[in-house]
Amino acid sequence: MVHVIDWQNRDRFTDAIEQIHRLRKQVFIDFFKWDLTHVNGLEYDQFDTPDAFYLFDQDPETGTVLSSMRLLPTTGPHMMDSLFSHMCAVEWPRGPNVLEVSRLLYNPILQGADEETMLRTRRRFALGLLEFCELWGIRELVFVTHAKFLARLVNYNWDIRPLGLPTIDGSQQAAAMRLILTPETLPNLRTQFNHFEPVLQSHPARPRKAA
Amino acid sequence: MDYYTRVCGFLEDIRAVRTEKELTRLVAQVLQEFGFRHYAIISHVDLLAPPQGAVRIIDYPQSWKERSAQQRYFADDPVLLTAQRMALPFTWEDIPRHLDLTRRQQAILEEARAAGLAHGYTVPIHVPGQVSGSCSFSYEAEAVDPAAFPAAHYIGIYAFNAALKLSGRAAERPEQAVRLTNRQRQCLALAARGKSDWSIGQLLTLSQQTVHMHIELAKNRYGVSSRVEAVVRALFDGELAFADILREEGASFLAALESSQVPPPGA
Repeated sequence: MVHVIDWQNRDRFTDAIEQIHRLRKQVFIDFFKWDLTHVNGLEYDQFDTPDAFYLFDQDPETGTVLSSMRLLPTTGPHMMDSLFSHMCAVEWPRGPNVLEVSRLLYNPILQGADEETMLRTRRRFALGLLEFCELWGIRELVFVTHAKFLARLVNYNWDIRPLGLPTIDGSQQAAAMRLILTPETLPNLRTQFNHFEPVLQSHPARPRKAA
Repeated sequence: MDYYTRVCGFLEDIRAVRTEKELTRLVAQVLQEFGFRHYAIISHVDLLAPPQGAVRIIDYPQSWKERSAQQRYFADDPVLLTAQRMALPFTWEDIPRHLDLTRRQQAILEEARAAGLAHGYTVPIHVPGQVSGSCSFSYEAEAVDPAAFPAAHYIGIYAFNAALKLSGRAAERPEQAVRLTNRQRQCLALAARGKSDWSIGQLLTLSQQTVHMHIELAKNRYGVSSRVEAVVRALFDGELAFADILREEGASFLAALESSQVPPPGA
């Protein structure tokens, strides 16, 4: 099941938070060889602040984190602003109802899983994200993705648009994208995935002033 | 040309298309503006007997279309085979770097060149749970500004997706198309090199029984009773390539396949 944590409710999820940072070290530093810093096997960066949210999918029986991502408000420091603005040909959307997705990963233990399990895991995570956005009134998501995932992102029945052309970033081809959310997005994806059960199990309440 | 703005215009235009004919017109127009000549937007299926929902928009010279259909070139077309293995777009000049070309494949490329398809840029389309596909755009030497390639990448991805939607429903993988898991593929490739279950186990750090199970499952998927048959079927389907078996570097291809299972770094 999918959970969202923020600074307010993180005490209830200390184990999951540690797993997330450990997975980030395994996936981004050990596997993808990104030049990031880590402490005691946990990857953190300057955007892991009290303003960040983390969305993760947890095996309800074992507690193992299967996938995770970080969500940053675009009203404060975020990656597009500090690191990736050169990838955008136009201004990227920002504001209280726009979040930035980063550090999306799937637990490497899933590599041994069959394709069907992998597919269901990815879909559950996408639906969890959309449910959270729906509850919080988020209208748009921005992110940078490796170019090899563009075809699958575009295949989802949602409104995803480029913010610039794919560029070579280091040795990787990457692209900045925006995902525009409407009241139809979640129902459309549920229909496409033939999955109608809610997957978001817990999330923090949206502070009144930000609404 | 401001390629990004042109791509956005194209995306706006295809949002409204209702027919394949309209889509084809818009694709042809933008590609021509970019300097491309011919194109093929296709699902990787048997094009002589495409399953329902397959994408098939081809604007290649008529003589080439007939020749390649008659000779069943699509089964070992180097462009399609490369697209099948690559996650990112490539130019046709790069194909020999990705594929060990057989004599037949070299002949196919030669013939294509003679038919007016000398240079090209291909965008592979891989979506989990669906038949893979590709968009190939040909061009005359020097006719395309290299800055147009990233724009063509988007044209390919969005055009394929639009064509897929128009074709009714996403081409669910047909029952008869067998897919192997990465482990099954790895074990089978090593078995094809004459390795015993024990030594495969040593190489992949699996137990001998697990190796045996993966190979048995691969045999089951093809409905065959011997390893040799399973290897032949996997080669025929493109699940395995000769390079995986014949070359030591094959192992890196298998490793790359495995790594492609870890999806997107968010940033």
